[in-house]
Amino acid sequence: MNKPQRDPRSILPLNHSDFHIMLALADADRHGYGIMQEIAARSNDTVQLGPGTLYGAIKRLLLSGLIEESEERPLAELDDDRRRCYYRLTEFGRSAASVEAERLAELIQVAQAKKLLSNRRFAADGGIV
Amino acid sequence: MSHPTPTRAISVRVFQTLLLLYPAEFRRRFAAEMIQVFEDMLQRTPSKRLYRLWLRVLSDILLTAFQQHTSPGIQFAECLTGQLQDRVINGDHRRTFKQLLACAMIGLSLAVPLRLAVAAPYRTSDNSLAPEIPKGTYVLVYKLARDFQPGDFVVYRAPEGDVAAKIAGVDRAAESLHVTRLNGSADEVISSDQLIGRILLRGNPTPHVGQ
Repeated sequence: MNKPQRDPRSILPLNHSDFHIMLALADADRHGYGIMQEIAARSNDTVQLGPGTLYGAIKRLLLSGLIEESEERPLAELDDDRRRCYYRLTEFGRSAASVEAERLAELIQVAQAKKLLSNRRFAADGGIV
Repeated sequence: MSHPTPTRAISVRVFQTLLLLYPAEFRRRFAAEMIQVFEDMLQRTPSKRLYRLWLRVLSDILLTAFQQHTSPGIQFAECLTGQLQDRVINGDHRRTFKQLLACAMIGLSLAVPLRLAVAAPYRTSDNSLAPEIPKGTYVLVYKLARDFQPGDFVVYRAPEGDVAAKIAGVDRAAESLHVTRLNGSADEVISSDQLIGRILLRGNPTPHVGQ
């Protein structure tokens, strides 16, 4: 589905759970539970999306053209159910996610400059790029 | 790791039933996937943590079902639930659940009397008031209306159910209204007891779409 060229900046800032889902889809296409697991793993279980929040966000992201259903089954395991629906970032979604990441990185720099962020913790978490 | 089959089956059945809280359109698209996700969650939850899983899932469902029902225009609800949403995804389920219950009670205690006594939404099921109000139009019926003019649209109780019609004449002495439908080809005299209210607002017709 080709959407007309839109400026990804027009939809920023991204909602907390939407951005988490887009991050989970940035490196692989995933199904619903895969997205949940990836988010929980990356956040040390501090961010847990329930099924309703997850699919509410998926509906919103599909409608705004940030993600789409994927035909591929990249993470398919042996016992994986073929009926599962996989999702992936669209081109527009990918650029929106990176613009959002840049926006957040700028905020982090400000926070660092104002000594709101301890460098020690920052380094331990691996920093941001 | 996994639960004995009966507990599992009951949990899935309860979850399936709870999905009825979502709008039909949302269910058609996502219910199967949500059940799959719930089964996966269940599979990886030890029995003694089952209640925590349910606490989390229950507050999630109640909150998001409400969100799916509220139109995007209801900014107030969005803002109220947005705050709760942050708490749900940050794992504070017990507090969310309590707050959600309180919200639901306040909401119900406002909504039910309002709907019963002041105004209620209806959806036209036929074209008897076309072209002004075609089939599938949502209308808001104001139940406290007392002053009626010819040309007003009203909803009244008929033996076959609630009916929408256009006022052709008002007989104040007899407290009755002469109403017409189907472009004047059906008409009737109704008493003020039968009257539910005047159509105050009308939306755009929403034909059923999708599979």
